[in-house]
Amino acid sequence: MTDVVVVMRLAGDDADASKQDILALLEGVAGADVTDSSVDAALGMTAKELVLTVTISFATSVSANFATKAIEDALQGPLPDQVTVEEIFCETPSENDGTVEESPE
Amino acid sequence: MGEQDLETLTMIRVAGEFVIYVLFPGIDETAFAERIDWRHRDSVGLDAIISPWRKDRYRIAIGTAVPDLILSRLQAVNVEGETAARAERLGGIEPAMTLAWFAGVAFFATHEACHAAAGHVAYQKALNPETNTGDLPRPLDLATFRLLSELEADGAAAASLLSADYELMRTIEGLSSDGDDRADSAMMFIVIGVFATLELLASEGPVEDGYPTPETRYLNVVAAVFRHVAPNLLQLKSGDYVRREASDEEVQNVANRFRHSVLPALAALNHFDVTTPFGEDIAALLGGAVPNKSEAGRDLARYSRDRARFMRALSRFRETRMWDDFND
Repeated sequence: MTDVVVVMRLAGDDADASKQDILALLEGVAGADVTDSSVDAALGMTAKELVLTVTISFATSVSANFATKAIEDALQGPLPDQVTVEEIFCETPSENDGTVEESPE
Repeated sequence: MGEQDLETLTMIRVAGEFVIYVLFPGIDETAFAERIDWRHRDSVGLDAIISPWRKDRYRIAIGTAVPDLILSRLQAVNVEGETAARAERLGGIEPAMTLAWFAGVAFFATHEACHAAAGHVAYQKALNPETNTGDLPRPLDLATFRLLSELEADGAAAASLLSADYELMRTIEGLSSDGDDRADSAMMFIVIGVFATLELLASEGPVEDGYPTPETRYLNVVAAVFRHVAPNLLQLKSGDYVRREASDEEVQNVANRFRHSVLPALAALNHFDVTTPFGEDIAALLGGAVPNKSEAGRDLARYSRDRARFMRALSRFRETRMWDDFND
């Protein structure tokens, strides 16, 4: 299994609507399943902010590069207002201890 | 990637490593800072955030514009007179101002890390009905929490960096970190870097609702500098610092240190004019007194009244022992 994590900045008043739009967009990626998502309030130096983190799992065996590219492509289209993609990275289960590690794109 | 971009990203990375591997291990033996994941993110303004990240980890993102903005401000500093003389003792103006630059960027990074160390991130999560993990007895209102957490993070960051003066000096190539009188010289340039950064907050646009004004933040860090230089002139009372009776000699020693470090630093930034209410409040804070001449000073004094309650509320969320003196 290959997991891709997307970190996004949410601005504006209706964070929940933005989140639902993003989740629907990511669920539409072929072979992908949204397995986890959370919105966290961030403490900023000069402004408040919300951070949306979504984990997307690819059930079939795909390479990290393929999975990451598929998510990047999905997020290339029009995004909900006030959503900024900050980071996309792939996680693969470690062979030794069952933990996950970030892998370079 | 251009050379300038590379320098910017390197500065952010080195500041993060300094916080994780040097600053916090020097304060506290807990390895909490290793639970911070550092990132940079594209920005055009002063921009940094911390958010919860995976189990008990934290994610800090520093805006890529931060180092350049601080550098631009520092390039306008008047390095002359005592400031120039102090720079020479550190090996010259260039390494001394590089120390100021690094201190400014590190102040940004440390401010965010202090939100984690102080338990602000965990407390905010506990205040949120969707993510709270248990009952909070008499929780703080969000507005009070936000104001005091920003002020506490600023003060703790400034004090931590001043305490790590030797380690900061060792980070800068070409800067002489040995010899007599280095501590006050280093303090001068660390203060220049920190206050130049605070000053940028004022020039970077309107303050978001719920944040202390840049002027209040500035005065709050002046108070933190005083606590760093003269801890023996203060005592804890009802969760806050108050000045205690001190001998003339003790007061004179502190005044002399300020005269040769902090005061020329603030003067170099054009921010110490005792004929203005703001300048009077800076002078008051450097004497351990309560500021009451400027609006920012009065605001700071007013916020301090909630400090004991804030300290009690945060006590079980603290990640390090930096605040143990305040705990019941």
